[in-house]
Amino acid sequence: MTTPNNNQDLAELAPFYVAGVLTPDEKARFEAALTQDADLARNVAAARAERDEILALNEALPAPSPRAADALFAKIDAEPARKPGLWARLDLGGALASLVSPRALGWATAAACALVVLQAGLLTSGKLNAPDTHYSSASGPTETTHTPGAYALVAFAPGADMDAVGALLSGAGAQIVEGPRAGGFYRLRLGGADLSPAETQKKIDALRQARALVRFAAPSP
Amino acid sequence: MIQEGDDPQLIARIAKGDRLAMQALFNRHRLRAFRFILRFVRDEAAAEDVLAEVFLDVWRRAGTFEGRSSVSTWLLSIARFKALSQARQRAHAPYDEDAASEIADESDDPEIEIAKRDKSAALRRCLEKLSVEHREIVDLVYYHEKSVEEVAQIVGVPAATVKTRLFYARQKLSEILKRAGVDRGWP
Repeated sequence: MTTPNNNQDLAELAPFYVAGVLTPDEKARFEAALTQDADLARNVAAARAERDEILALNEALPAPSPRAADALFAKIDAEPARKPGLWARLDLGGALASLVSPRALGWATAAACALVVLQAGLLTSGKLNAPDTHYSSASGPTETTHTPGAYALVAFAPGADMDAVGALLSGAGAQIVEGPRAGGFYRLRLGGADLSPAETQKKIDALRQARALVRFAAPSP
Repeated sequence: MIQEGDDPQLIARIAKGDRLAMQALFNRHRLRAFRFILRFVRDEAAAEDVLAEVFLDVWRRAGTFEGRSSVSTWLLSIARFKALSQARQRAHAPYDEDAASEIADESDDPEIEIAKRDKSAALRRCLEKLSVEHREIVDLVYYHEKSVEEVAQIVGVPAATVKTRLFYARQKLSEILKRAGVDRGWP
């Protein structure tokens, strides 16, 4: 049985019903009342019209210019560098190099690979920088690592899927260590100091071949 | 609707200083956050400055995000606070907490007269005349798709106030439209 209080409560919920943000219980209660309450049905029709116009009004508003991203990442560049995380401080690469037993080396290699895969897995779904969102005037990059090794500078394709990028980096055994720099460039660590120039080039070639995801890849000091 | 299922993971990565995650989050939410800010500061350049400040706050405070609300609700809360501060500084701040029950302008202006023939256009004109206090709730519900509780968190009022404030604004909308000769059939 509906009471005046119930009616008022339902009437107030109409916009939230139209917006699709009621809980399942609220929605069921609302829809049950809707079938028997003509006033509530008119309320919902009015709310739908309001929603349509609000969407139109908002869509007519401008988008932020690239200046907003410029300002943001310039401010981030100016922020004090953060302490490296626990894994970075453990210096897995250094520990790996110090191990001499082939058996231990094998286990350590597996652990390092697992870590890279784990990191790639954290690159969850989403799209990378859309064409209009590159920032181009960020101040100079802050070095986040000085670990010896092989590095590359890459720029991802506009709209590249983060899952796909994660898989690519995992496959190449690469980790993002810095970025984005001006122009949307990232610095990747491809491997330790023991990675040969030929192996480094092979990894960079693999990145370049992924043209749907990478628009630029080159060795970096 | 924005896909924000992995926003918490992005925040966790941002907390570790991951710029790729920061850019992904910024790209995902910049448009809606900017439009929300623009309602308060009414100036695109100023709104862009506020937008950058909002995401800088996210960069700095990502480690404190506890996941009690969605990331977008958290973002909009920060955006509202900073936009209101900016609006007050710019001295043309329209916001007055005590004016929450007011509708900005109920006059039957020539544009509404012209719009009588088009119910949709008339409604749009009347929505534009809502006070900032009412309009932000209307936007948060219909455009940002926020629940009663989420709007309450962003605006900083009790959930019951969110519902009654929105209901009152909608009733006033109908009254204004009726005076302009447009009957939308409710209430």
